[in-house]
Amino acid sequence: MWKCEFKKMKMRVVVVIIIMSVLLTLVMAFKDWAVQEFSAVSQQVPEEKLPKFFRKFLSSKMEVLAQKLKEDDFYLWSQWFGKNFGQFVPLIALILAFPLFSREYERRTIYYLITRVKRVKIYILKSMTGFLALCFILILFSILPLFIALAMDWKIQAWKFIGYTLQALIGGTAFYSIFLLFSVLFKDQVKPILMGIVVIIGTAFLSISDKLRLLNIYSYIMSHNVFQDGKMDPIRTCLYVGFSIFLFLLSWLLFERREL
Amino acid sequence: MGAVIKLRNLRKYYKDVKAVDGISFETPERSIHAILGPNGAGKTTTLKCILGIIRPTDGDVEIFGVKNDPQRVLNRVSFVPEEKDLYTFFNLMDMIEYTKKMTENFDPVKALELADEFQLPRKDKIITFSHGMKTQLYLALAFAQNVELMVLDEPTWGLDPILRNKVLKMMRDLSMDRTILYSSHILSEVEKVSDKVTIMVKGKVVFDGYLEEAKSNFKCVIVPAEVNIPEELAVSISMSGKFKMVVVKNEDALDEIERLAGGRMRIEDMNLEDIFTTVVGGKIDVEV
Amino acid sequence: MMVWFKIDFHSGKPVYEQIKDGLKDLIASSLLNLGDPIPSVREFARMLNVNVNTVARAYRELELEGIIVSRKGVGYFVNADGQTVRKLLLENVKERIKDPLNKLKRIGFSTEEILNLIRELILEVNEDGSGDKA
Repeated sequence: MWKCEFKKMKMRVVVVIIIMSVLLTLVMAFKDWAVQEFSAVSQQVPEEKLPKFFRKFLSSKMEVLAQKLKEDDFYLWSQWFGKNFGQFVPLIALILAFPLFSREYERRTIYYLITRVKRVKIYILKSMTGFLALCFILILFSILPLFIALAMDWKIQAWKFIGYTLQALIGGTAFYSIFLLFSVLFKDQVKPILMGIVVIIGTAFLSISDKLRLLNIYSYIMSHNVFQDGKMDPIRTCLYVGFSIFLFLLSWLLFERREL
Repeated sequence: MGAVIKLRNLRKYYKDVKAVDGISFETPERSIHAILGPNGAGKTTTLKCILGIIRPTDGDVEIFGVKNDPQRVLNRVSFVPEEKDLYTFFNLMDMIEYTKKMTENFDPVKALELADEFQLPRKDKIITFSHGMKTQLYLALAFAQNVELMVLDEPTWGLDPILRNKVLKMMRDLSMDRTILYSSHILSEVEKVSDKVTIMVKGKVVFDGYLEEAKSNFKCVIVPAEVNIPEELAVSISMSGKFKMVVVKNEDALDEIERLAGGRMRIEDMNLEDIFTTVVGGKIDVEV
Repeated sequence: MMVWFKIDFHSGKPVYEQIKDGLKDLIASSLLNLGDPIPSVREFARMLNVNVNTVARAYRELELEGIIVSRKGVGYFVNADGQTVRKLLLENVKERIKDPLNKLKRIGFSTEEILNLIRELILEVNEDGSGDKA
């Protein structure tokens, strides 16, 4: 049973791994080039188009940034967890979660399943295979950069990667649990995708306001606190874990009672 | 012989339609029980309520003595739904293998035998299958389960006449040690193969009984129009020119009518189509 | 595939009655004789393409009527002897001419006319070769 559910996901997992591998390669291989480019750009801030104080503010910030990027540690964290990988985590969760149930509804194969296996078993089977795939991908692409960096002799603080990995995992799980709920609720595959994208964009916007920090799963995944202070955020960690568990249970209950 | 399925006052109401409006019936052990009715009568909704795919608004569903808990008896029932969709990226062999993993009491050898009998291609992906082929595969999978109860929703729909007969024959053979409940809107097939018939129209049961008994009991009596027949005596009374057609369902009524008509009468047997027309009262909406 | 007799599912006559009549006919016309074996319920159901329950009912009633008998472990056998056969024969014919005769009566033929008809028919049979003297 488990093998088959994984097989159903194979295509999506492979696509995600390919994309992430390409991104990782770009980040790891082209560090020097990227730093150079950034330095060059920071010195070319167009003078005429911007007001004076803003120009100064911008160029000073960019100079600082260019300096920092030369540090391996900062570079790796900011470009991978802070950008390429971090931003992708909710998308990965969405890709893995959205068709789990909604595809079975849409293709009407759900009847085949629920008349053979108890609903709770189906729920665990599907939600867990998605979750395991998510864990696998997130852990893989949290650890890989570490090993590659060490192999390339970069100066990085390896122990921080535990924090990065865990926060990416927990944040990713929180998103996954939301998208899982959508998959259980909607009868076709399009709605969970649309709602998922709305949620992702919505949470991205939340990073504007400091007051809504608790809701900002995005920044949690990017693990700035781990990089800066060397430790994980206990409040948000507990909050997101609890939130995920709550949604998992809610999704199960909804699936149990769903009319088909 | 006990009843495998007992429905008591089953109701399923949606926002603006009463799909099933208070029905009760029993499915006896080792019988072939047909739910006959036009499209929209509530047959599929009834079957889905029995299997727990839909939750009833009201009423009781008892299967194998278990009340209102269909998930408990899933391993003793096989189901062929109205939507006979299977996994399109599988081929026949994959589907059988997958079914083996997902289903208790499933015999893959038997399934393959049946699929071969239907002459289904083994290696083609199911996405290439026609509706009829999907139906045949679904039936092969369901019939290969060693279960006590089979619930089939329009099992012959979309099949050509030869295949239909094949399926009916399979159902007959299977019913020797199984109970089969199925729905159909094809009257002639129901007449060929069913022990018990429950006729549903617009969410209600208008007839529920054994087919053979019904044929023995239901008679159409033609008497002169002037003869006064009290309503309680008959199932239905209608006029046809110079004659009155009276449908009765027991012997005593026959004797009484003979008395009232002074012997001027003619008795006709009634087949399922006749009975159906009588109880439905009006246009026939089933395939005859 | 040819079977012992045809079943009409779409007739108003229940299938179990058709089976009973079919077997009685065979016995009455001496195609089946006292002591001859009859297929089991399942076999016969398969042969005739009818439900097992239907054959079971037919057999049950025939057994009660004494037409067939079941011997444990062996099967069903014809239980009708000479007298029963004659009775059956008469039953059968009576069943068959009841309706036509009633029709004649209703139309207005007199008893004498109907008896004449029957005498004619019996004489015809004699001319063909078999049968009793009138």
